[in-house]
Amino acid sequence: MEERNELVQKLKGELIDALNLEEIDPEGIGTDESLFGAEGLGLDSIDALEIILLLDRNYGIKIKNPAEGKEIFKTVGTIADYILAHKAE
Amino acid sequence: MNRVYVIGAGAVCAIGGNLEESLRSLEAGESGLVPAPASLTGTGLPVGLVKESDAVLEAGLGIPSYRLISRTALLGMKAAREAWKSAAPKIRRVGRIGLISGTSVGGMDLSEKYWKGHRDEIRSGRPLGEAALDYLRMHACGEGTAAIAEYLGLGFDFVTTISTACSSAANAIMLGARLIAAGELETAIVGGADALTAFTINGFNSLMIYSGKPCRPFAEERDGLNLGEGAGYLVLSSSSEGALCEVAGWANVNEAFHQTASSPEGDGPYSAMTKALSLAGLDPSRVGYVNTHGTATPGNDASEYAALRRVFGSKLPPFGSVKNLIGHTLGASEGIEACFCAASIAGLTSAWGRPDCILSNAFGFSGNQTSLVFLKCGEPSEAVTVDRKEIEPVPPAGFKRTSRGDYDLVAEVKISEGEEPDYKAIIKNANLRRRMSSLIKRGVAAGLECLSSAGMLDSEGKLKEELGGLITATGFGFLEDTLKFGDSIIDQQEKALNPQPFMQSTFNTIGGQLAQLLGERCYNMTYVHGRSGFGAALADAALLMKEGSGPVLVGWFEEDNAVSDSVLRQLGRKVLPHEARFMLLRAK
Repeated sequence: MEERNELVQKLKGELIDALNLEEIDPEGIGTDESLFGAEGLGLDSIDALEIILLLDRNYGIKIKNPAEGKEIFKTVGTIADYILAHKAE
Repeated sequence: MNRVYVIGAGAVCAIGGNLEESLRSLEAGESGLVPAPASLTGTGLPVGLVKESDAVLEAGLGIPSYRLISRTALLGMKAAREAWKSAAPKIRRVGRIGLISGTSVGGMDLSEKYWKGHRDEIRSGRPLGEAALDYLRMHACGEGTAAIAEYLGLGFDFVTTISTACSSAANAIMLGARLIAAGELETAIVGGADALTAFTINGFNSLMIYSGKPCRPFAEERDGLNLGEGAGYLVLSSSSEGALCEVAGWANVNEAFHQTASSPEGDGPYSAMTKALSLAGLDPSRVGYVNTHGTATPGNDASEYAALRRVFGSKLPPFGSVKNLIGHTLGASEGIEACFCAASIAGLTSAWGRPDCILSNAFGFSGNQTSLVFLKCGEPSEAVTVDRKEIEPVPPAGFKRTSRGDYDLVAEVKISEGEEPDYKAIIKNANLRRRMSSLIKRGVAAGLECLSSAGMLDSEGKLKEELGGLITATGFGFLEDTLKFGDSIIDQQEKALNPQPFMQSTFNTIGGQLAQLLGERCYNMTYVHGRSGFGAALADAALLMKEGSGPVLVGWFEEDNAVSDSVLRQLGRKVLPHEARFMLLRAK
């Protein structure tokens, strides 16, 4: 659980950098808050590509089909879970 | 309002070195998609490659090999010459003649080769050697068009270049048709050219919409596009003598939805298609074939199909895409495909049956969407029912004559580099703003401030009144982003590239971002023809108002870039003004 919490915090910082979310600080992103769509942060398909690059660059995780991102990138929490599940591979 | 006829056509693409050969392959359904040669890219992705090498093209055109000409311009010369040759015998009076060409990246094929080995030297801003100048001089989109004009040697009254990504050639055809309809020109050579480049292949690949297999437009299992190269031009005339068909309708809208994605309901395509048909005075039931944009990306085809269903209901005419044969030829696509449309209506091919009326679509990044209607000559139609205001004819090359009496300059706002305002206060949408490069911010802010000082915006920043058009012009566009993406291709060996600078480098980005921020689906155009492109933008605005449109926002933008400045200086030209400047014009 500790590992997940740390990862979540790290991811929030990385997302803010990669997506240039200049007006948001890590505390402003809820771990289970929707990243995409009007209700949450309002990210879009281009941001999804940036997240794919981030996972590849920082975690060595490759996502070939952008459509897969829809489920994986729902929240910071789901991204963290995906990283934890695939890092072992 | 004059009718507009197609009296000549010429095309070169992956399935043919001329129109006749291309039509034969089209009828046989032969694909020209092959793995990309290693000289172009190491990705090996499928591309629609024109078979002739640069040397073969030059020899065929009679161009001495010591003159370095971009492949984009060579392809353009070949197709435009074929179009003109087929039209010339039919012409009794050329009258005022124009050349309007569309392209997405101009002479990038030449400049990217040199960039690879000489980046530091070019970036330093030091005087460039002859070789560098040879390779870089044709980078700007307008240079290719100028080369085509010089090669044809027809004494053009009007020459310009449009770059709205993948709808460029469609918009060039539309502008030619509008100028002939309005009596500004009697003859116009219109279309587009684009050569394959590592830049565009890697760009679409970084957006993860490039298929590793031959593309499959509208198929359930489609997974992206393949790029192609080529050129296609029509000769338009106000005279019907020997015509292949008529250009009966046209429309351009901005979807105002997203920079690269298409709306799931196809709002933009629906609007473009219905407006074009209504301008032609034709009921959708008259359409015998739809040549779709059909790129085979999951997003485009779903959106376009949804729009087709909305336009035609249950009576969907036969429709198809040629992109599985020739690839997506970007700024050239509608140039080539319009030749196929004209040839089909004239009975020169039966690949698409025997339609009397074809609706043809081309959609580009930043929501730029255009539909054209091609109609068999003599078919009944209520050509054009727009309300026309009485405005003095505009000389297309300039704007001085009209600026005096016909419309008012309501407001003008200029933002120069180093005099940046507080962008957060002007561009309130943080989600769009965070991705904008400094030039995009400068342009978008100048546009918004201009609208605001003209009293066009309410307290929430929404338009109080519909715009008639949103027209921009630039010389080198977003060169810093272009170079950044070019660098990443080299430094990262074409792997895991960030698509942002590629997307942002599209010349019509500022117009598209303004449309999206304002939720304004109006006419949207971008001229990339050096300094005179701004004159063309103003002339276009005047033409729109003559056609009865509301106020038009016209803008110029250019960044302070050592590379473009150094190229221009050594060519003995004036450096372009480094600023974003917008004007709001309104008919009197």
